[in-house]
Amino acid sequence: CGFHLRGTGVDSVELTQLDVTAQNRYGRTYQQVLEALEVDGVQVTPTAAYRLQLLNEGQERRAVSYTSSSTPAEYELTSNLTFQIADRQGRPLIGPETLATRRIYVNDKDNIIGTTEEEELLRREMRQDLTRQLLFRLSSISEGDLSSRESRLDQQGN
Amino acid sequence: LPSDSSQPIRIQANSATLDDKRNTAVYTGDVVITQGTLRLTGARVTLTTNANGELNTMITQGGPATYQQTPEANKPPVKARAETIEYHADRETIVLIRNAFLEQSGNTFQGEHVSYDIQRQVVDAGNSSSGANGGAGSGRIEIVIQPRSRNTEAPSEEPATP
Amino acid sequence: ANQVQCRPAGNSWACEPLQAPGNLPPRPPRPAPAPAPVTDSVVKAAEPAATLSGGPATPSTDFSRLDWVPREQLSSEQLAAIAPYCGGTYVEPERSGRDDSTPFDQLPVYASADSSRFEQGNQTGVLQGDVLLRQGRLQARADQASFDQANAQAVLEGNVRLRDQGVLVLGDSASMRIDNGETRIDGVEYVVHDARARGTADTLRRRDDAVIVISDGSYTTCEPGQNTWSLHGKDIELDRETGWGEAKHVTLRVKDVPVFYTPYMYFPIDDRRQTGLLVPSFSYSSDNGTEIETPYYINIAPNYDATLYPRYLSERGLQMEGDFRYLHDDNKGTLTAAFLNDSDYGENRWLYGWQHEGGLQSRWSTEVDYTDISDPFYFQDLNTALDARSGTYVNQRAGLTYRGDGWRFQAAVHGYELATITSVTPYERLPQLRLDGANWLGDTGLRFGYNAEYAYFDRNLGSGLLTGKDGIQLDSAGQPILTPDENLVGLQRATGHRVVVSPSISYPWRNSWAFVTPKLRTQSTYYDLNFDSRADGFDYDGANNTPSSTIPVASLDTGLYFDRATSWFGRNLRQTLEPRAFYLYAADEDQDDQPLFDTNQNTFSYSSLFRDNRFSGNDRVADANQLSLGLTSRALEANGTERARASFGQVFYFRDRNVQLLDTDGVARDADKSSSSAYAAEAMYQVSDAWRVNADVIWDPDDSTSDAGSVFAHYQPEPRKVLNMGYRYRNNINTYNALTGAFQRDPDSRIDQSDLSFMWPLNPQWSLIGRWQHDFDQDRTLEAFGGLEYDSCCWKLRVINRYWVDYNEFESVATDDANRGIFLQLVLKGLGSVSGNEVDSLLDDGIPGYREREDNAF
Repeated sequence: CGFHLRGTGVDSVELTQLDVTAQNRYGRTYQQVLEALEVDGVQVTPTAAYRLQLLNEGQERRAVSYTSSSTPAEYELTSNLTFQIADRQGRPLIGPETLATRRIYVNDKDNIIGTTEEEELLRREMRQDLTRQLLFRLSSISEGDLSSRESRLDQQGN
Repeated sequence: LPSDSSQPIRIQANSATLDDKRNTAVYTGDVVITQGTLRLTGARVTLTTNANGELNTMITQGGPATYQQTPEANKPPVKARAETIEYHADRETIVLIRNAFLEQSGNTFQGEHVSYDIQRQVVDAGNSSSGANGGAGSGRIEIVIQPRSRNTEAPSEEPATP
Repeated sequence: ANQVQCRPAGNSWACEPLQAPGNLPPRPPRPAPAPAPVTDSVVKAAEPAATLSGGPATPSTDFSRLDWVPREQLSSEQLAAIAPYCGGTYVEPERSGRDDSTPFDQLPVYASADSSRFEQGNQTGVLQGDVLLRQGRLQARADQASFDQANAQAVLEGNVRLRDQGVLVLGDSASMRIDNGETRIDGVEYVVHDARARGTADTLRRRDDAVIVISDGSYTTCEPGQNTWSLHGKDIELDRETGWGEAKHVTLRVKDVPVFYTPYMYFPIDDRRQTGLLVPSFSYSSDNGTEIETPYYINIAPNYDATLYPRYLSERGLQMEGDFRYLHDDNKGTLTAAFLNDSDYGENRWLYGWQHEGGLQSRWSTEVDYTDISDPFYFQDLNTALDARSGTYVNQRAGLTYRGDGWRFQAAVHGYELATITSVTPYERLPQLRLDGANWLGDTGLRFGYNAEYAYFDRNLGSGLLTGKDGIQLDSAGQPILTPDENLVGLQRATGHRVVVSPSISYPWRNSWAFVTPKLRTQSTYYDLNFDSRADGFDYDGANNTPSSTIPVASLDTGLYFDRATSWFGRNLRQTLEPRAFYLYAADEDQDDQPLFDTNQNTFSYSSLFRDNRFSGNDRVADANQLSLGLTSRALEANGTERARASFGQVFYFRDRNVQLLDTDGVARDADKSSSSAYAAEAMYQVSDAWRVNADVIWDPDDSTSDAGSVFAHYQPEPRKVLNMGYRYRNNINTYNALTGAFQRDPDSRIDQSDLSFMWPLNPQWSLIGRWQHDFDQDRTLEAFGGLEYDSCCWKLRVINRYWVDYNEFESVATDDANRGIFLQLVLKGLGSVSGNEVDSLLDDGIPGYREREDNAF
């Protein structure tokens, strides 16, 4: 039915060099994105021509269903990551774009620590999911594409 | 300076035609008239004197005619230019007509008709109050007032004419 | 020769070419009677003729003297910036030198007039006839102006029009200091273009720092000719630099009727989306009676601000709430406090808290999340505006983390304060030390991971009878109830130290179309317990107080990537097919002698198929000999974003699962013998930019107890239109019922709930608001509210009628009672709307997409 083993990796990034910055410089997401890029053969260096900026990480928890005594029965965790790719002068070439992911878990009001540990586990998985989505997105961007966007900006003279 | 009017008048020009009967003298070609610190230049100057030979008026025309005089000791000189400059000795006033520009201790005045009373150091610009035979109708006047810190001790610089 | 502008710089001259054209700046054209025809780019409104001085009565709609440009004369770009129901906006005409920031004492004054007289002697001068003055950013127009250069004064008379950056002032007379730009104007009408605000004043003073001081004046953002609301203050100060206005002794007048007085207030005067003030919200509910809340916002400094929420509750009294926020690039946080002398409850009730995040830019990061409440019923009764929803506990936590390259160390203390009396007292971790990290072993491709933790779990258990708000709590049969902690027995009552060490080694191999990751991990857990000496059939003496276990866990994770080009509805996509197999083996070691400090059974879902432990926390390492098979298919757009994703999988068990959580009698539950798990599937489809659908299902053909599922659709074609539809069911809520001390497995306690919410505009001004959350299992409505929002150019009103099931802990005992409330929110546009205000958080919580709607509101 037309499926074949893919020649190029879905999430193998073609960019050879990239600088990565984030508001929370040593945060888990920042370090995970760094590691994923290195595994994919992207050299992360501050001298790179283009800069991947992790602009904002947001997390929310919302009760989506209630028990018979009206305490939250299930929580929905949503986590999003806003990023953009900018040139040396900080002008955005791609984005800002926001990636999102969500998980549902049952709340046990009599085992608060157990439930928070499950929440912590889900947040780790969501972080991996967002990193994978980011890699998927980067894998479709080439250096040629970025430099053509940059020269277009130069023509517009700003 | 107030003592200027008692100084001898010296005139340089390429050529001069005198008409004693009508007490007028016309000098043409790079005319320079000096009297003390007063200095008038222009392409053509018509000088009239009254019956007993005293100076009456000096009508300087040029592209532009210029005027310069130091009103008081150690004060910056007053400079002016216009297509026609009329110097009235009796009232000790000069009247600048068309493309007039005058600079007095930093402040500059520009318009179609500017008169300057040398004695009382008063500059009247615009058509209404000067009383002289008004310049070209309702021309507006432009004035630039320098900030106080600048025009007291700093030499005034010459903004280019429009 | 171009002109050089020389300025005194110390004892020498600083000269640079004049940016302005050599000759004098062009004078604006003489005021044409009607505004100049609109050019398509920016409106070049000529200097409209001043019509103050009794000119022909201007038609009521022509406010061009205030720079007001009606809709039909605005460019498309300007139209997009204002709301469809606004009649126009203020446009500041272009002028050269507007942004000149040179100090005034160095700026010449350019003047033009019909005539002038200057006396050099006393350095005075008079200009007459349509006088126009320009000095740097200031520009003034008047019938007549007189100068006194000696003391740098200029006095303007008749039809004065003063322009500063973004400000227009009309007055009868004005006096200007030409050495520092200070100006005073009497009999004033003024406009602040960015703030879309106007007002009048007896006198208006422009200070030398460009702050506008209005004495005995008014301020409103309503369109000229409308007086829906206006602020009248003794002293109003507008500072465009910081974007803030400040007013003292202010009365708010609605249609010229004074309705509200406040001694002091702060409000934003530009669109930097800052929170503002004075958004009163009124509500009536059966619990708290009438409620009026008028928050005060105080902008202390660029990165400090505070908000006070005085709240009057007719049933309880006056409550003072407040939060103080600080924001720096390296740390940020909030201090919160609330106090109420509650006449209904009969005691003082208070709450205070501190949330802090520090060291964002450095390796050492700190985190504090501490809240304390006076009594467990605090949130149930007061439903505080602060963001502590009807959760059942508040955190009391502080942590310090060192973030190395590839490893992290965290030291934390973590306690809780319960906001309910029907829950088991939770353990507190005093302290918890954690170290985790991973690194590659040279270039062998092997990755060595480790995490280690020491924690001391402690709690003091309650005893005796449960005392509610009004004394001993009785159940439906009239019998007193034991506190939940009384039902705990044996190991459940243990406290003590725990050390966990878990090294792992893995070989993550991958290429473009496949990945294989073998991983070996061992978890060793050691306890040092102390038992509660209560005799309840548990052999405390014989129990082992230093249980320990070391359990190896082996896993093999493999997957392939297939893809093909395809197209849906004319949009070409790349569809992937990603089969995945995950084999897990973990020794079956008896851990029944280990207490449950931080462990719980994870919720079964598709992503739980590929985890190497079905329990959270470290007290249980699940025994396993199983194979999980999963299949994921994604539809990727050309730029790599996921348009759709679907996953489906199941676990095949080759051995029963003996490791279980403790049952009520302190003994582990019996093994799980099924040979395969339920099917787990989930899907996401971004139908279009407006439509998004999520769904997931857990289905077990032969044992429907663990079935669950949900579908959720979100439709937001444009920020103002929001519609959400959702349904969820979950058959077995396997939670422990603290009141009865038994796990709740009765079949009819299940989740079967729908959730519908929308905010839909009927026309640009009226919007319908609604939410309905229904519980089909208990056949009751959990929450429902309906309301209307009327939006106009300078104010917005929301009326919401809300019904919500009260949070009742003794559901099994008494029937739950519902609450009804009317909520009213008046937003005075331009004065800012306070997020965290009751109605705002009600909508934010109830309607996904509301925040995006508000961020794009006019």
